[in-house]
Amino acid sequence: MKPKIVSITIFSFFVASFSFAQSINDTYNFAKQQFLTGNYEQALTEYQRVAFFDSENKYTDVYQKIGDSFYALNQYNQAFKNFDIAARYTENDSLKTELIFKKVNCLFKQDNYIFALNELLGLTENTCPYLLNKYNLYMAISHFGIEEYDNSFIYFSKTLPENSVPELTEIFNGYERFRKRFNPGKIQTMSMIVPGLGQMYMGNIGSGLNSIVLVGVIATATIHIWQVYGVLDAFLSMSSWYYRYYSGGYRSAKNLAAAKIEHEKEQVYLTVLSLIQQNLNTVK
Amino acid sequence: MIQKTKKIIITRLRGINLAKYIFHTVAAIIVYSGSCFAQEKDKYGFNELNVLFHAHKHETLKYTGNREKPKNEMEFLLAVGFNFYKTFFSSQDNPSCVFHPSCSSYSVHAFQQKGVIVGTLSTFDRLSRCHQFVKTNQYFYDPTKQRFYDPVK
Repeated sequence: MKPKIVSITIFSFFVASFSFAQSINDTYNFAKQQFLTGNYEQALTEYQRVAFFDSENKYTDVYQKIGDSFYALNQYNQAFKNFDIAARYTENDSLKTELIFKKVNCLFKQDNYIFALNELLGLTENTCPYLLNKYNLYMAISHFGIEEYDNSFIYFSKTLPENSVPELTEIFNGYERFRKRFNPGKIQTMSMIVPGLGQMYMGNIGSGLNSIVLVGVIATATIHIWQVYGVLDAFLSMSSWYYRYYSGGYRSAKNLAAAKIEHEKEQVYLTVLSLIQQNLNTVK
Repeated sequence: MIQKTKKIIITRLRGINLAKYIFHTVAAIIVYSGSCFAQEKDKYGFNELNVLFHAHKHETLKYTGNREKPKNEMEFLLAVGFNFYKTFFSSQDNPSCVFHPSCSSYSVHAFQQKGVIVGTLSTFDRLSRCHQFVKTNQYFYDPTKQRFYDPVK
């Protein structure tokens, strides 16, 4: 028995001398590999491990990587926080700017354009054409998001060569005309005056007819009850129904107008973006 | 003879490992180089920017059953009634229901899950509970829908 124990002990020490734990570098490389293969959750865990054990701050880009992993997992708040930490750590101005653009991207994803604008306004002026173009593009999108279309136009035009600016002007003018034409307030007022008129003006004939028929039937029933039973009976029995479908009709018209403008906004944005994409390389 | 077989097996196993190793390395290089190329090509992040300002399409809720065609006449009537109400009445109404799913959807679920008699009773029960003085501590509030969650139990 004794020689067995002795031999096992000696063998264990012998093996232990060759074995080694996974180093931070291995973990970092493994995380990188996991990220590239699309296994973002595993990559995130490994990167967080690196950040925890890296006491010498050797892996300075690890917070950016954590941010990228959170971003890939659609966890934009967490991604934003980590890009923020990474931006504080870095001393390279260009990299800092890129990290702020990543933070802005997180805010864009959450439709928080006002905070995105706030982040961009904190950036110092950059002379690098690429960063300047990206700054102008992101500023334009932020202004577009908060519906400051004049400012948005100014920044979008900065990213385009001069010969493409008239095309951009035409797109923005067209959009302004569209917004004036289908102003939700105007559409709502039209439907308040004549039920269904706002919907019909927007080209939604079915919904307009539906509204006018519904309110018309309720109005006819009210008049009938008034004549047969009296005013008080007509008011008590029909007022709530009338209010419900009359106000519902004009609110529905307003919502339809807002949805139409939202749809047009998406189309305008995509057109402008495609114009920029085509011309961005020709800008000085 | 046994030693020879062992040698062949070992070399084959080594061959498999080596092939696997080469395959993984080549795949990693391709994936990495591809991602680098994509990053370089889309340095402004257009892929991410293109999906912003996505307009949500509002569609009227339609009846959905367990199968494509209605099971019987009762289910057909239920589907027609629900679709008619949603298209011609609900679309012109204020969003006044305090619960999610709405009373009409709840009614359909109740009929589907509990049959005609219990479904009718459940519908009346729900309609009697759907008002502004709802007991807030009895329901879970869904912030995304801004309504109290009350499914068929």
